[in-house]
Amino acid sequence: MTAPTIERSRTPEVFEAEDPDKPWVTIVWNDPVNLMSYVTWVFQKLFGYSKEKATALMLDVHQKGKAAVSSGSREQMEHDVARLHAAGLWATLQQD
Amino acid sequence: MGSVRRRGGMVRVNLDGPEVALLSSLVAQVRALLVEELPEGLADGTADPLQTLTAMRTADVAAPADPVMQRLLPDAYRDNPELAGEYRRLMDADLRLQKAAALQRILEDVSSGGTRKGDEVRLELSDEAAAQWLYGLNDVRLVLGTALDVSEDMDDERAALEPGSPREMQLGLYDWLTWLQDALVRAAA
Repeated sequence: MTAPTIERSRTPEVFEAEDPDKPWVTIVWNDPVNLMSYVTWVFQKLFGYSKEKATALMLDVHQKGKAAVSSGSREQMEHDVARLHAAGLWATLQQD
Repeated sequence: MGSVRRRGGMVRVNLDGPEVALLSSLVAQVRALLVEELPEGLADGTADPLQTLTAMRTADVAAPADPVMQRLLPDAYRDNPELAGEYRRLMDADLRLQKAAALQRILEDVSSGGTRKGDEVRLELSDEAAAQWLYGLNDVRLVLGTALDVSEDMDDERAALEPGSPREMQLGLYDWLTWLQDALVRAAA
């Protein structure tokens, strides 16, 4: 597994109109700084997840490079991203 | 050498004099990075926050060019500059203030909290305080780790480092922060 770089994609993309039926998801991306123990703690604290679920999500981030940690309306996902950014995790939201 | 343990529902943090000085210096530097672009008075509460934030939210905020600041204040939308810009315009100041507040909590705790024995500081943190410490320490590690370009597997590089070289000392500092944060996570509820 390679740690992703922090650079953002600069490729312009054409976006389709929002489909209101498609849920939004919050994605957490792997990075080489955040501790596995801390990421697990953040998932438990912010989302109320069990230790088992938080650990599984953390391992997905660590091993696969990213994980969807929550889903819902765009507003809810912006709120989750804001809380994850405050905790220092590298989070984005997108339509699934 | 400091210690962190949980006792009586509190997180007990003991730091020796050099550790307190080092931690305070790093935390203050990262806090300065976050608040230097905010309007005067916002971070220390002397400005009317509602008025100032409202004024800021109507102005575009450019994404940071510096990789360190990009990591502290990442885009919320990965491949959509328009939505990312809109989100940043609304949220940038709030995020900076939240991070600055967590860092300020560390500074206040180490400078005036707890008890002192010689140059050692002994703190008892509530879980709420420990959470602020974890947020703040994580941001300090993000700044240092990004600036030092750390990767997940640095064993080979570390083994080849010359003792006393600048890189070895910088990574030593980063490792100490990593130890402190990990010990706090394990002691926090």
